[in-house]
Amino acid sequence: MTVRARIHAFDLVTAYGWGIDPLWRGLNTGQTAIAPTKQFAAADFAINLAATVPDLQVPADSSRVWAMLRRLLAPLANTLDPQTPVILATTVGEIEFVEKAAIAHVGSAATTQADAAAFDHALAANANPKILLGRIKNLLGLQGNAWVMSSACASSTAAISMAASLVTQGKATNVLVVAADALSEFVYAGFAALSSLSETPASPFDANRTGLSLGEAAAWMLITSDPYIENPHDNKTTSPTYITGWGSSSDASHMTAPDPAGGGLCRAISSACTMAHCLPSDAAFFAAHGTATPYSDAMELAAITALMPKPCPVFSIKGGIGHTLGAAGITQLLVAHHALQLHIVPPTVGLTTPDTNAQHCVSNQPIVLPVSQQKPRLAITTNSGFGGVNTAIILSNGVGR
Amino acid sequence: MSQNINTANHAIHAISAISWFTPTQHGSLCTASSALLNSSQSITQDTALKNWCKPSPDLNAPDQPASLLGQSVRYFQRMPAEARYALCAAGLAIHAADLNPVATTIGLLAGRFDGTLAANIAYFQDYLEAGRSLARGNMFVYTLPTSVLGSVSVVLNLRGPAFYLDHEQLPLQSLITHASYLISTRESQAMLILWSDASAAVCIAVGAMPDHARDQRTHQMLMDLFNHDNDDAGNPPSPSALAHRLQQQVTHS
Repeated sequence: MTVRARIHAFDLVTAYGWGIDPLWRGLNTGQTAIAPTKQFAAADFAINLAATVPDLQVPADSSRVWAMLRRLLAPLANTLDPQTPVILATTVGEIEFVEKAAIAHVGSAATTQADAAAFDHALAANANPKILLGRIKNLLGLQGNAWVMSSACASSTAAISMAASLVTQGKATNVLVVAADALSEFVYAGFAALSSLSETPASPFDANRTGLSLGEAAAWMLITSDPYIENPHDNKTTSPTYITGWGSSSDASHMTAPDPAGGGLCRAISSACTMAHCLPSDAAFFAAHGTATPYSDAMELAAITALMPKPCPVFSIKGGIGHTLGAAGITQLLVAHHALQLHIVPPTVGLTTPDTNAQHCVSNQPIVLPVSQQKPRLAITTNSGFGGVNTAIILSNGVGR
Repeated sequence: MSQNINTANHAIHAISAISWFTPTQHGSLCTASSALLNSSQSITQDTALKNWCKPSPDLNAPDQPASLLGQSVRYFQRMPAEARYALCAAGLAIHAADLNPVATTIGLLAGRFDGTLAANIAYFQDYLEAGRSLARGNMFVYTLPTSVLGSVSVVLNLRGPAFYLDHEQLPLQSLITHASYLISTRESQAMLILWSDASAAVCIAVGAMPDHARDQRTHQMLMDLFNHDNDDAGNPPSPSALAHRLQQQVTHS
């Protein structure tokens, strides 16, 4: 008997709306949710596009991240075993608290230095994701172990990997992963400074891509242990999705630019495949990070090409919902899970003319997968981020291991 | 009263070295009984000792960090203080643990938010003061909890996993446990745990080490240190406090 980590339940919100259905529908109809934003003084930037959650009500003393999470998590309150471990994945979390403290301080310093209001460190310190973690535990009635996990844009993939490891090691039977990042002036200004933003909605893997579009999302996923007994006669066509392998690496080449050859990502994928006892070529499709920046997409295509002897469907969801930073991994993994269940690879929104290296694997149309009852269908989902981090997860859906 | 970490004791067995860097002192402790003395990669003759500490050099001096780490570092003077201290502590730990980044996959873990918060505030205030329309990219890249890890991995050629992991109550012990797990699953062959902020950095090297290779006295000292490291409020020690405690251990040993 092998203990495996299974996706038991989840929910999410993206710029398409609340739940997986609007996200799936949005991606498959090819309509982007990226549009001009009025959330902050974005008009001061040369580019003002972003994908924001519609009609999000945010109290003045709260944050967009908490507004998303509170609504998403409320139905879970007091329904879980209180000892359920929780892992929060985020990059900047409730960064509004730093913004508010700095704006109050610098704004008041317009007269003289002596008159300037002291910087409110207590307010800024609320941006510590550990405080958000405590709030999540209180809302849900949890009392067990709790961690904040961050690994740039691979944060939620790293958190899911850790959750799966706790389950497969027998250290927990259920682990809750929560991930969120919101659109903020803080991050927007930073990516603008790095000239990473696209003047048009992001078009991952397109030959004419020029950069990313920022988005926001939140999600939770309950991963449970699943003692699995091999049964070759179990021919059910729909079955749970398991997290069977994971791996991570660093490029060790540059803080913001990826290794052009994709060597770091190859190592992460290979490590995940080794754990899952599979080959990259066993994958039915890749759920790629696909930010739509010229270098990052090229790096991913180089890695996939190096590992795959023949083309395999690849998709990115960032042309639809933008780059959701710490929530990017969990969001695309849940889309991959849905794709495995429905036997359909979603299109890459925004794709017009595929990059030379993407012509045989990326599509702006859904791809229907053949249904096999003989072996499980595998998907590989990958993320990369600042500092050269790479993560990969293998999902398995279907009969057998 | 400090919280005990019995559940993590098995992981502590894998600590091979611990190094620290503060503006006043830096040093290393090594749990291996012979590895360091056989090292062929000594950074300087001074540091080819097993347990040592000495006054820190001025990192703004033109010969730094080359004379400390044995290699020059591009843009070192542009890095925030936390990144510079972390880099020095990590370089010392790699040397003390006799690790070879070319031959060994080495990963990184960090778990303190103070340095990130300081970088966040500095970046956003600078952006506001500049007229709120143009930020500094070089400050933005240091605003993530893993930014320091990125710097260290690039400079020291560390190709393993790099995560920020902060346990609600036992952050330091949890990092050691997770480092041990990543080694056991072969995601990495060795791990460096960075416990750093803008005032000091401590780096713990974790790797597989057979019992016969371990210096039991130093090992017992580290076990005591990590079993009783929280203050009365349950908070783990700051990097400065931990570095000071390590320094005292070297002085008294």
